Formats: sequence, C-alpha cells, structure tokens
Amino acid sequence: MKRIDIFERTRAGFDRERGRPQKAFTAGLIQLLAEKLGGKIVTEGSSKIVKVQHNINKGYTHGKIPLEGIYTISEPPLKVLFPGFDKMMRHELIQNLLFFDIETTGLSGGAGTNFFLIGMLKVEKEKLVLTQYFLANLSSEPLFLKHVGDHFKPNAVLVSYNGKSFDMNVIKSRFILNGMRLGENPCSENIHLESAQSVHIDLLYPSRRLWRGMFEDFSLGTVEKQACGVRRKKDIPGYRIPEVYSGYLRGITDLEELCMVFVHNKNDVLSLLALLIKQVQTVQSGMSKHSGVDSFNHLCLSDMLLRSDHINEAKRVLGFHGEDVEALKRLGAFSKREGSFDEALGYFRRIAERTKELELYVFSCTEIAKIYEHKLYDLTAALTYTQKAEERLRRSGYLYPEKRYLLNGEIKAVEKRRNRLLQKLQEKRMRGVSQ
Amino acid sequence: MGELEGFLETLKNDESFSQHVTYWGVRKKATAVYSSIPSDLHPKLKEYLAKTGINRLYNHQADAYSSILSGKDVVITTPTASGKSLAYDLPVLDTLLREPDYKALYLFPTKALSQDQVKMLENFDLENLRLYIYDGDTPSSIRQAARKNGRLIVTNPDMLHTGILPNHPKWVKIFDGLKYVILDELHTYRGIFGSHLAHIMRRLRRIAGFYNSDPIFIASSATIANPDELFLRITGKSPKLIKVSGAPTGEKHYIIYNPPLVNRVQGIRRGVVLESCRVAQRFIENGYATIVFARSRLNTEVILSYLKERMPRQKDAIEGYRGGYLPNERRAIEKGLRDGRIRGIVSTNALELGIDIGSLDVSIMAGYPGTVSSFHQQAGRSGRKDRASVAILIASNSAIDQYIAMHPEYLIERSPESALINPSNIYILVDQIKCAAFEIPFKQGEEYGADDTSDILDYLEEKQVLHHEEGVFHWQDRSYPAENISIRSADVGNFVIIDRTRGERRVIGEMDRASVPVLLFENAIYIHGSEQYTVTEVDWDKQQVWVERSSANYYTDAETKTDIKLLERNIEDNLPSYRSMLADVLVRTVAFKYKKIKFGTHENVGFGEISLPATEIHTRSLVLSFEEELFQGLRRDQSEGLLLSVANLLRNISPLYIMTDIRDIGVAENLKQQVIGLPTIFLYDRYPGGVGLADRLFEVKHEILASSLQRVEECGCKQGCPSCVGPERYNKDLALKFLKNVIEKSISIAEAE
Repeated sequence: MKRIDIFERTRAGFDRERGRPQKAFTAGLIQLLAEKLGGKIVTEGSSKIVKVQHNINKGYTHGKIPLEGIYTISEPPLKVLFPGFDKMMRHELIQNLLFFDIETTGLSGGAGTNFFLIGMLKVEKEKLVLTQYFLANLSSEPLFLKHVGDHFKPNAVLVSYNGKSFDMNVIKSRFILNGMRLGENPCSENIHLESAQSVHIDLLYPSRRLWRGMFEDFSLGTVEKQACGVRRKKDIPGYRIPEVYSGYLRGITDLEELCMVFVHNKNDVLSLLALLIKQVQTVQSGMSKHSGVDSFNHLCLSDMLLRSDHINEAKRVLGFHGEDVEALKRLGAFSKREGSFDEALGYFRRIAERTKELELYVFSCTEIAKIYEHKLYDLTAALTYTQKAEERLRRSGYLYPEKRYLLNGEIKAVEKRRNRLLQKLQEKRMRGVSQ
Repeated sequence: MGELEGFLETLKNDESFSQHVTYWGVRKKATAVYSSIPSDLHPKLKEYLAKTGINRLYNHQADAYSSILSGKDVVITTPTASGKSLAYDLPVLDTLLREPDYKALYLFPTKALSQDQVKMLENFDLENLRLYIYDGDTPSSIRQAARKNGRLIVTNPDMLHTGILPNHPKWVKIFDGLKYVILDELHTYRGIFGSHLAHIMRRLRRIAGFYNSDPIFIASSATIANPDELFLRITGKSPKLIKVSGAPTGEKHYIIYNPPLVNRVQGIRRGVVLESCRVAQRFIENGYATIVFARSRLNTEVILSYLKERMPRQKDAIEGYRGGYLPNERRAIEKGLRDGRIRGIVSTNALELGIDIGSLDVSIMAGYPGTVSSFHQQAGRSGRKDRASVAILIASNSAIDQYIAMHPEYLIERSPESALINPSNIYILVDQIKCAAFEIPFKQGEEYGADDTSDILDYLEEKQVLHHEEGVFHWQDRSYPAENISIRSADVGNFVIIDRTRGERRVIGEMDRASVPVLLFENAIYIHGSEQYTVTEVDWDKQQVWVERSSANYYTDAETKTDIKLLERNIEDNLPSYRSMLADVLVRTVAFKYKKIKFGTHENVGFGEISLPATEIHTRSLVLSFEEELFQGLRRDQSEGLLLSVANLLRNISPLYIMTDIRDIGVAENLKQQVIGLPTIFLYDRYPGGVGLADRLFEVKHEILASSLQRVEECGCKQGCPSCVGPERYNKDLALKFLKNVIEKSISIAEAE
C-alpha cells in the first residue's frame, strides 16, 4: 500500500473526490471569454491576460447617484471624510483618482491568497474609463501585475472599499511573491503601489462614521443599497467567486458564470464612485450655509465635522434638529468647550425643560451646576440646580434603599456635589464674616 | 558544612528514612572555568556586563560567542543555570548593534518563557534594539509596528506557523535581513511538536531563501543523547556542539528512595504520593525551599492538598503549578518563587523548562519523570552556583521505577535518551506541505528537507488544493491551511472548563482535546486548585466542559479497550523464539468505563459507564509474535493472563529506552492474531502516523525483553504486582518462565551463529 493511499483511507477531512482535473481550458476558451466581454487578449511570450475596457458616459447614473457628481467634488469635504487628506492640490485631484477593486481566490489573506481580476476606474474629461485585467492562467501573473502596476501612478489618489486592510495587502503580496520590489520613493525604479506622495482613501471608514447604527452591516453590498439606492440584478454572490475561478482553471466553469464575475467587479467599482459622491455630498450639505442638511443622521455628521474642527458647521447641522435631545447635548458640550457658557447653559436648560426622563434631567442639571460652579463661579446657582436634581430623584423614589442601587453612582455624585457646594458657601460666608 | 548538609546528615542517621534509600551519591562542587570578556565585544555590551558585575565569561559562553560570530550554527547543552541565554544573547546583540540591517528571531516553546526572556533582553537597555514580542497576546497596533520596525522578534512556533510564515510578504523587512534564528529548549521539540517544528524550519528557510537570507541557527538544549542530530533534523544544518560548562556548581546530593513494602505478598509499597508528601513536609518544615514534581495533573492536585492540610500554618506558602492554570495565576506563582514568598511548590513538568524561579534547595520527584533527560532537568531545578542542594527520586510502584530503584546506575551513569522526531510522518507531511505551498508555490522536484514530495503534490492537485501549471504547483484553495493544523498534538484546540456551581459561569481551566475522553468524561471527578468538581456535561462542538463543585471522596480513572488491524509490514526480523515486525497498523480505541478510586487508601469503590464513540488511528507499531509451543500445556485463561502480563511489562519497561512519556505508547495483545496466526503483542505509537517511537522500539526490542526479564526476576512480590507484571489476572511465574525461554533461546541461537 502506498503511503498516500493509507493516508487517504484513514484521514477524513477532504470532502472532494480524488481524480485528475480535466484541463480542458485552452487558448480557445480564453478567446471566447475575451469576445464575450468585448475585451482583448494581451500576450507576452507564453503569458496571457485579458483586458476589458469600458467607456462610461459621464451622464450615467448608478443606483440613484448621477456619476457626473464626481467632477464637482471639492477638497474641504474630503478633508472631513478622510483625516490626513491634505496632500493633493485641487486642480490635480479629479484626474488622479483611481478607483479599484479586486476579486480573489480566498478571503483569508496571507501569501496563498491571490487576485485574478481587478477593475480600475479613471475619471477623464469626457468619460469614465474602467479597465479590467483578468489572469488567464497562474503562470501569467508577472505580466498581469506589470499591467496592473502601470495604473498605480506615484501621485495617485487611490479609492477603495476596505482596501487598506484587504485589497492592498493582497496586491502588495503578489508583487512581492513575484519578485517585484515595491518602493515608497516615487523617483525610484521600483513599482510604487503606494508612494510617499500617493493617498489611499478607504470608503469603509467614513461609511461607518457617517451612518453609524443605521445599516445592519457595512459590507459594500449593504452600503451601496442603503446609501446610493443601488439594486443589482442577477448578481453572483461574493462567496462563490473563488470557486468559479478555481473551476475555470480546471476547465469546468460555465463561461456565463465567469462573465458574471466581471459584471460584479464592474458594479463594485461603480459603487465606489457613487459612494464617494454620496459621502462628499452629505458632508458638503452640512458645511454649506445655503442648503438644507442632507443627512440620514445629523449626529454622526456633526461628530465628523467637529472632529475635523468645523465647529460652526457642526453646530449648524445640529441646529436644524434643535428639538432633539442628543443634538442639544452635543451643542451644549461644544459651546462649553468653546467658552460660550451662556449658550451652553441655554442648551442644557432646554433639555431640562423638555425631557421627561429622569436621568437626562439629572444630567442636564448637573451640567448646568458644573458650569456655574467651575466656570461662572456662581455657587448659589450651582447649588440650586444640584438641589433640583436631588429633588427630582427624591420625588421619583430613588433615594429609598429599594431603588437607590439602580442609580447609585448618579445619586452619590449629586450628594457629593451638594455637600461640597454647601461647604464652599459656608467657607465663603466665614471669610465674609472675618473680613 | 552549610545548613542543608547538616540536615542531610540528620536524615542519613535517621533509620526511618535511610533504610529505604537505595542510592545516595554526591556530586562534588565544581569551580568555574572562566574566559576573559572578548576585547572586540561592542562597547555597549561591555558597559552592560560591567554594570551587572560580570567581569569575565564562563568558558562555554566565550566559545559560543566566537563560534557564532564566525558564522557557525551552534547548539549549547550546558546544564540549567549555566548562563546559556547570555551565551547566545551576546553575539546576537553584538551583530545587531553593528549591522543595522540585520534581524533576529527568537523562538520559545511557551509564552511564559518568551516573557521571561524578554525581561532579560530589556535589561541590556539598548536603544534601537527594537525588540517585540509577537504572540497571541500581542495587540494589533503593536503587531504592525513589529512587522515594520522590529529587529529582534520574540515569538513561539505556533505564531510562526499560523501568523508569520503564511503572511511573509508583510514581514519583508524581517526576512530581508534575517541573520539569526534562536531555538531555546531544543529538547522540547520532539515527538509531534518536534516533527512539526522541523517543517516550520524548512518553511522558514524556504521563505528566507526567497528573500536571499540564509540565517544562522542557534539552539540551547537540556542534556539529551543526540542534540546535534536533533538540531540537524530540525534545521537541516549541522551544528557545532558546545557541551562542556564553565559554570560553577554547588555540591549536589542525589537520593533514590524506595518506599517500604506494605504488602509483601502482593508486592505493594507505600504510595509514591503519600511518601513524597512526607519527605517534602520534612524539608519544607525545616525551612528549605522545595519543589515537588508530580507525574500528572491529578497527582499535582492530590499532593498539593495533602501538603496544605498537613501544614496549615504554611498553607499560603505552598502552591500548585500545571498546565490548565490561567496565565496570570502562573505569573503570580513564578514571582512568588523568585521573591521567596512560596516555600513549597508542587508542579507537573511544566516547571521543568527554564522559567526563572529563583533558587530552590530541594527537588523531589514523585515518581521517575520518564526520561533520564527529564530527571536531570528536574533535579537541576534545585541548587545554584555554590550552594548545596539535593534531588530525591521517590520510586513509585511502576515497573520502571522499581527497575531504577534496584539499578540506580541506570539513572546515574547512563547517558540520556535520544529525542525522536519523524518529519516524514505522512499526516504531518501532507499538512505541512499544504502550508508551504500556501506560502510559496512548489516547483516540480523542488527539494524539501529529506522528504520526497512528488506523490503528495500530485495528491493535493487531485484534491484540487493545488493547481499544477508549467512545472509549478500553486495554492488554489480558499482556506488558510495553517489555521487548522495543531502543531502540538493530534487534535485541534483546547477545551475550556467552566464551573457552573450555583448558576455561576466561571472559566477555571483548560484541557487538550486528547485528554478530554479519558479525564473529563461525564461524571468524572476533576481537581483544580485543590478544589474538586464533577463533570456534568461535555460539549464536543463548542469544546466546553461544564463542571460543578463536588465533595465526593473518590477520584476517577478511565479504562479503554483496543483492537488492532495490520495494514502493512515494513521490516521483519524473525528469531527462533519470537518474530518481530515494524508495521503500519489501524488502532481502534474506545473508553468504556471508569473506576472510582478512594482518596487516601486508593481502593476501588465502584465503576461507571462512559458512552463515547470509538476513535480510529493509523500508526506504526512494533509487533512481537511468539511460537505457540511457549504456551503449551496452559489453559486458555492462563495463556491470556500470560500474554497480558508480558504485554503490560514490556510497555512499562519500554520508556527506559526511548525518550517519551509512557502514555505515548499504546499496547494491545491478541492470543491468535488473525493474519499472523500466533500470540501477538503490539507496542504502538499513539500519535497518528507515528513520530518515530515504534521504529526505535523495533531497534531495542531485545533490550526491552531482557530488562523485562530482569525486572520480574528481581521483584520482591510473590505472584505479580504493579511493579512487575501487574496485579490480578496477571501471572508472574508463567511470565518469568516465558521470558526466560524467549531470551535464552535467542541468545543460544545468537551464540551458535
């Protein structure tokens, strides 16, 4: 018995049947594929790749997003969306954008995961040009990568979805594994997928921040549907893509199915474009003085604006939602941080007046007391608001042992504040007497 | 004469102790052999040595320094506490300080050792060393920094296997200038773990070669017979061996203690557990820091609770230590040992490795640790530099312990065993080739260690895991192979033990999958931290074991049944009295019941059922078949008893000749083996595919038979006991006659030839 047969007999774990794969695929199959897709075969020596180029009318609408919007994106919202985005000059921005997305043989990453299809989109003056490269067989990888690498210019602005942690790592790995050194210095001879001058913006992160808590997940499929209204017809699910390619290599995949992978990839890239436009517009609406706010979630948007030091804009966004308690809380906090204490007091008082919730009432009274005590040095007013909070707690029965434990932390804080204020007032009176 | 020497003198004069001592030897203190600090050592390192009061090196350290810097691969096997780490740290750090592009990779078999070593490396206080621990506990932000900036990476084989090698393109910066790979505690890489490690090193060298690096390998090891061979098999390179230590050692007493017979007829001696407690108690009460090595997790707990109970005033200064304790519990105990708070520690062999636990006075082994090498490691846990220390082996009732008690020279004079690995194990080979192919495609006919890979590559292509194109096998599967391959045992993943007494849910420990069916079956008693629990439920899918606190007065022990089928004969060797064969076999095992054994008296107080499906493994076995004439005139039950006795004895004696735990060797017997048609005994390797144990058993089969005969002849019992052929159905007289026949016949034939 051969050792491998003993192995086969005693080791479960392989669910696939043994048997030589039929290596039916021939030059003919690739030819057929290229024709079906309207692409062409690029050869060099025995290497073969398929290149498909799509010219997309700039008036095209993807989902509910007119892609023309890309020509009018401006830098300020980009800076809000992508912290650290400050390297590009305005006039170069649009022409340097490179949207890309890859299809891989597995999702685990690591040296054994490769990509066999990439879609890359450039914005030209009159049209959008989407180029797809397909790895026709594994030995052609160097040629494939050479063509891919040509699209990554040293001053590019790369746009991807989750590309920072996935796509880019896979691409870099493949270059390294094929002995093609990657450099960061744009002047060097090396290929620079990401040079010191290039920027990579990953739409996943701003999606999470802009639409926090609103979508069930942040896969591109969900976000494109919810944010851009994209509905895909007859799409191949992402998890099936590795097996389609694997089948293709063994000559057992339906050509139709493989073509669907190309369509899937093309739609992914177009969604990147739509999504960037949508994100920019959302932020822009928050920054512009003259428009209404176009936002699913003004709190997320204001947070983002605030984080990029657009305080007035953030306030304005929240101002549109002046009845919202969460908005008032944020406005109060902004104002306090800015030193506009009267304004801050106004916001917190509005909460105290409006809210029926005990905890929120205690919170706003406490905030008011803090401002009076520490900023305006009005101890009597601070005491008044602390006592208001305490009174409400008492009326709601939370000072009885049976209920106290539910809000123990809050109650202790209020009592501590009250005692401290009383003592400070006492001291002040004593000083007054002795003087 | 120091304090301890005085106390030992008292013991010597105490009849109740000394009459049971079968050996008392003293190794004289040895003075240090020094070399001067190399003049070319980097000034920063000179500064460090000066600061720590080191003004010269031990001979072996200086030797290692110059050998490593001259580009040699080196393995150092000087004893515990001889400054092995410094021996390789100096040349490695020297190189890193001078050559900014060079990197080093330190591998430790456990996370605890990594932590320990990093503390030492940090003491050098070198700027730009850029030292990172990279293991399962490293946060992801640090991981990125380690890949980008690291120059000295401290990790373990598991992380290298699942995290680093499969992602080598992310580690370009490390592999680009990889100059040194350090393997600490090389001797722990044997059996399954060692066989996997040999592949991990092949993969490492394959990847390093891809980036044009060819690292130097440096290893340290406990004393084993074949450190250089093991090094060669693991790294593929021949090392220079540095074994003569220049470090001083204090006087050391070696005592072998055989507990008194309590039942002469049945040959039963006082139990090793209780006897070890008594001896340990004497030392601890007199203020000597003592470590007790138990042979199992269970014994660790039993001894611990006895000691705590007997010394209530010192109970907080006595702790247990074993696998299954959580990491922070362990760190606290290690610290307690170093700062002297803990005066007594009961441990499995987990503390055999070089974790710094300060200096202890007494090392007590509750039973022979299984290998000569382990014996010296455990004995070496007591004693530092010029202080006297003592190592005491308390013999158990087992055949091997009794053999040693009566032949102390075996232990004291005999050289330690060879560490065995088998990288060609087909299961390991297939798994590891998948990992290697994932990392870099295989070229047709590519050299891969000493193994031919062509049939496996073809097989993996047939299975559509690899894709063959133009002479290259590319990985073409969506999985991440390293993730599903456990390099330490046959199974994947540990089981978590959860206490749900009174509705709480508290994780109290872990257990490897292989041990669960025999230790944590439903209704089993599990002891942890001297608390006692009953297993209420085992969830095989979620790998969880639920337990509840219990107050039963017994512990449990599983019994198993085994059937064996011959698959293929590899080598045969036929003598007139017996035939032997090295074969591939299929072993089917089922655990079917368990015994309840009372604490204290160790009597059997009942049985319970275990309902678990049988497991089947393919492995290698030594097969011994005997002529039927040897059984002539015996009733069937007598023949059965005889074969069982001999099988039991052979298994018990075999660890004398191979470096392994007795639990790694399985035994089965069959009065009329179907294919061979003769009474047959199988001694098989319990790891699927075998890790080299059966091959070695085949080589030393005659020595095993001879030592087994010797054991039966010398045993003081009347009708057989656990120290020779075993109790009950076993038959001592018949076994004695049988073995005599077998040995004499083959000797007379050998002489005639």
